[in-house]
Amino acid sequence: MEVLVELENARYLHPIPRAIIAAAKRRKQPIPKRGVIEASLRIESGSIIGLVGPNGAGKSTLMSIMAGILPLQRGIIKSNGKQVLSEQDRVHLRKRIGLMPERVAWSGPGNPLDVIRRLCIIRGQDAKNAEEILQRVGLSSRSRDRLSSLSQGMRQRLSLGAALIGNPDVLLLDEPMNGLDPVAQSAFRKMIQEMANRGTAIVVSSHQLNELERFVEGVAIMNQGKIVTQGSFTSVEHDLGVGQRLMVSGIGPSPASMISENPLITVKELDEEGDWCLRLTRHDQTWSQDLRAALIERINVGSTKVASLERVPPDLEEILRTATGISEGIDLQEEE
Amino acid sequence: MADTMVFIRLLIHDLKSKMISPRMVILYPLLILFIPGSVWGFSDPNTSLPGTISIEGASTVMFLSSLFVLLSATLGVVLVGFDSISRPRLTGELTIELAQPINRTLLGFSHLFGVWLSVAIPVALLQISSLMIIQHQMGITPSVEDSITWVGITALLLLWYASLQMIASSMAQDLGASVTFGVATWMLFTLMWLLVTVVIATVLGVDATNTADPTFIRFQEHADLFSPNGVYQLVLQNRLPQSAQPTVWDGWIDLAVVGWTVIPITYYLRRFRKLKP
Repeated sequence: MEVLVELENARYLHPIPRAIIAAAKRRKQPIPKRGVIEASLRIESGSIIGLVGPNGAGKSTLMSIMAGILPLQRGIIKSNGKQVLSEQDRVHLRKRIGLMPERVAWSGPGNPLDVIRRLCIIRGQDAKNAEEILQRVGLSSRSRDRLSSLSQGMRQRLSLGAALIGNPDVLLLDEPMNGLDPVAQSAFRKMIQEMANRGTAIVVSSHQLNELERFVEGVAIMNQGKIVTQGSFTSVEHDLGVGQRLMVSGIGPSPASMISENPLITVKELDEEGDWCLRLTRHDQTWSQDLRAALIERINVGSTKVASLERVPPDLEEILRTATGISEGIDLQEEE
Repeated sequence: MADTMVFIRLLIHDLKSKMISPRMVILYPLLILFIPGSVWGFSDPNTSLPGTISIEGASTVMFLSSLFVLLSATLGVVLVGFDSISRPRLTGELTIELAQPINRTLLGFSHLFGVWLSVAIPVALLQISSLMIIQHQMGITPSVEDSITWVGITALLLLWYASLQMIASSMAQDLGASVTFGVATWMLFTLMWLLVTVVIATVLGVDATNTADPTFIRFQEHADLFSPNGVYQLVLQNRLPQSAQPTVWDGWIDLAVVGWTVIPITYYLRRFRKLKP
């Protein structure tokens, strides 16, 4: 597959607003550290990459770098193998990229048709294409409504429409499914898949990991400004050493404490049908047939009997937790 | 060439939407009242003005009506432009705009010209209609030089205000700060400048107790070079009969016109090129 955009050790330092520096000096507190984004990433034609990470990991900033909005302090960004150096190079890069930022609060006296027409003009497209774009994102019936009257979902559609203008080679979508209803989400997934089949590379950042899992082919996991790991699900699982999981359920007394004695296995009790249901994660090796047989033999003692046993591949959430070190018990991580 | 075409198309699109925006619709009656209205009044042969002011031809009418241009048109630029960058920046629309394949300088110019021309075009049309009022009321045709100077320097004045407003809008982190900066700038140059001049004169030892004193007037004219309104009025004053012309050297006035045109625009474009969403 052709590499469309590539970041090599790209580094960007978030500036600290003067007001914050002044406030820190006034209070005689240390000046906050600048947020650093350091990333290498390859975007290939036809690929759908999920960009995941906790809040403040730098996903949106990375997208802005890739979109040619934020300049690099160090490193290289390549567009079709050519290094992006000048403003003119950045203009060419932006021509190939469609960006849908997170939560654009479209407002003002205009309407969706005006917005898309204006962006068509900027992209050097015929303003007549605006109607077609709005039709693609399901906004044609609201094309002349005031922007302030649009719901969050409608605004998301408008942002998506803005990203689609000019059929870019690379689509960068930041939290695209926020506010979309289930039907719109399904249509969105279908559209993304169709575009990828036609060769468009798509990078999707989302916190809705369950949704993301349904259509991305690979992931890039970000934490504290760095891409911790990237690749297909299988390669990322391998890189992270995420153990294979088993779902075991049965009748009789729960064998959870007995299995927990093995330090190589993490046991999680699940609230499912039956007397007990456990999720077992093995960290040292995969659950081979022999290991599974041995496990059944160990559990089937006395009145405890295994009713079902199945292998469960790790989900994106687990991969993210493993990659970033966020423990399962903590829902809200304090932002740095 | 392609970039220039994009710039022109974008400018036309922005002008269309700005010129029929609710703000401009509210502003139009004010502009009509202040520009042709004031010209109508000053060019009336029966008008008697206070003090020693006397109407000595079309250039005097244009000069006197400049006060009303300063009160209305410049405020119009502030009202149209105060949120032209800060609002899309807050809503996230600017991120989408900055992600488009257009040279940042051209995009910055399109924002600036959109604000400027959306006020400058109606004002110029009203000024041209005012020239006809002068001809009708006074029975004299304003000279081409006077007319071009009046319309041209007014357009430049609005450009200066537009660039100041764009600088403010690109600096402001919220709409409140943006409108405060814009209105404060307008008030400083329109309402407070004489006070600022008097304070500086006093500090520098110039007698400011008598504003008719030639030394103070000379000082004031030099101080006016640092105000867009002052430069605007000095240029128009230069078209008056010899006795009413300013004493400040013409070269300084020309330099101030160039300075007020180049410096704020250059600074604004520099800011816009480095703008982060």
